[in-house]
Amino acid sequence: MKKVKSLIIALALLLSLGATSVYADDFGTYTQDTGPFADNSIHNYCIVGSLPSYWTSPMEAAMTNLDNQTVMTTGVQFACNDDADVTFFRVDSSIMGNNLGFSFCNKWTHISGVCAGAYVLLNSDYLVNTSYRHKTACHEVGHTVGLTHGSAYGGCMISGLSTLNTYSSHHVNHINSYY
Amino acid sequence: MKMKMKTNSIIAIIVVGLLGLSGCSNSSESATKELSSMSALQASDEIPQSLAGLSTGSTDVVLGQVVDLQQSRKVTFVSGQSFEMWAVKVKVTGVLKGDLKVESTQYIELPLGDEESMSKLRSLILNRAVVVYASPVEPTDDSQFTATSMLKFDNDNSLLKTPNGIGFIVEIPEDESLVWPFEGTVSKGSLKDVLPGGALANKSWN
Repeated sequence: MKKVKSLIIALALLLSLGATSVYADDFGTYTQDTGPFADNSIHNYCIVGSLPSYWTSPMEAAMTNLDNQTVMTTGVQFACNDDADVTFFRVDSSIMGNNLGFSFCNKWTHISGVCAGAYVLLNSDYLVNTSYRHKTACHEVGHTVGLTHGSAYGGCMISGLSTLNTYSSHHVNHINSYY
Repeated sequence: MKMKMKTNSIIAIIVVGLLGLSGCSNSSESATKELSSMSALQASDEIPQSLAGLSTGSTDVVLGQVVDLQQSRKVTFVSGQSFEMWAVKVKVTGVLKGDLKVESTQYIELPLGDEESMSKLRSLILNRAVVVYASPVEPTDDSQFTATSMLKFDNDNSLLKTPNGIGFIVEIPEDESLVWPFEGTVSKGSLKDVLPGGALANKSWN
């Protein structure tokens, strides 16, 4: 009977661990608005084209913020090539519809689900001020390191127009515990 | 002996319960599950919206059948970088809003994705019934890039664009489900539920 009790307790513990994972949000799974993992903690970026500073500054600020808030190290590449971990594009609704921003992996590593180079697209028709541009750049950069949407956790990973431009402590913990 | 039987019964109940919880009772991957995992096509930041809102902002809402999925436009930047857009080719079977003709074939441009993912998406949606909320593609006035068509048009077709992933819904009748491949979302129901005024028309997304 003692054995049965031990077995039940062990199974209950296993079940409770399972239940915990159900409530945790995705990270690096590359599913349902969750980005894939980046290939390492060095996250360099470049900006495509010649854009005015009110566009380049929010992109740079989003990368600097990732560097400041987390263990990630970011740096700018002045030429956009295959080495960039994040390539920023400014496009408009003719390309993006009414989405504010997109990110997708454009170059995979040989390891499944690990991205070597992501494209981040920002929609100039909707991101009409610096705060919106900064928030969405922060949001899409978050996807490039594996974050998912996070209405429950706050920060720039919430969906929609907002002035939030840093990551919640929950999302920072995700990044810092992996990289 | 009695104790041993009791022990075995408890273990059996627990094992059956665990199998049920882990979903082992249905190990085959359904079309619904495969298609909903296609949200990995991209991760987007969207303004929370409903299909009712999308209907107001779209010129066309149609029912159709997927004929093909192919590259629609090449977007090239002045600095040389480029990427391709993709469009689903749809034979229109019903018109809920707009002037498109039933039996015509239309190209509906989708949110972005890489070639490998789009190739997989094509195999999963070919011949499926869909509902699409869309508007004609507008030319850009941004001097940083050009978008060149990769499609061959005839008299009865045009290039439209769904404003976001919410506006492209695939029906999987064998699972009695609806899938939004670009949102990674699944709902029980049929296409009538996602038409303007349908049961899911006022559901808010994100």
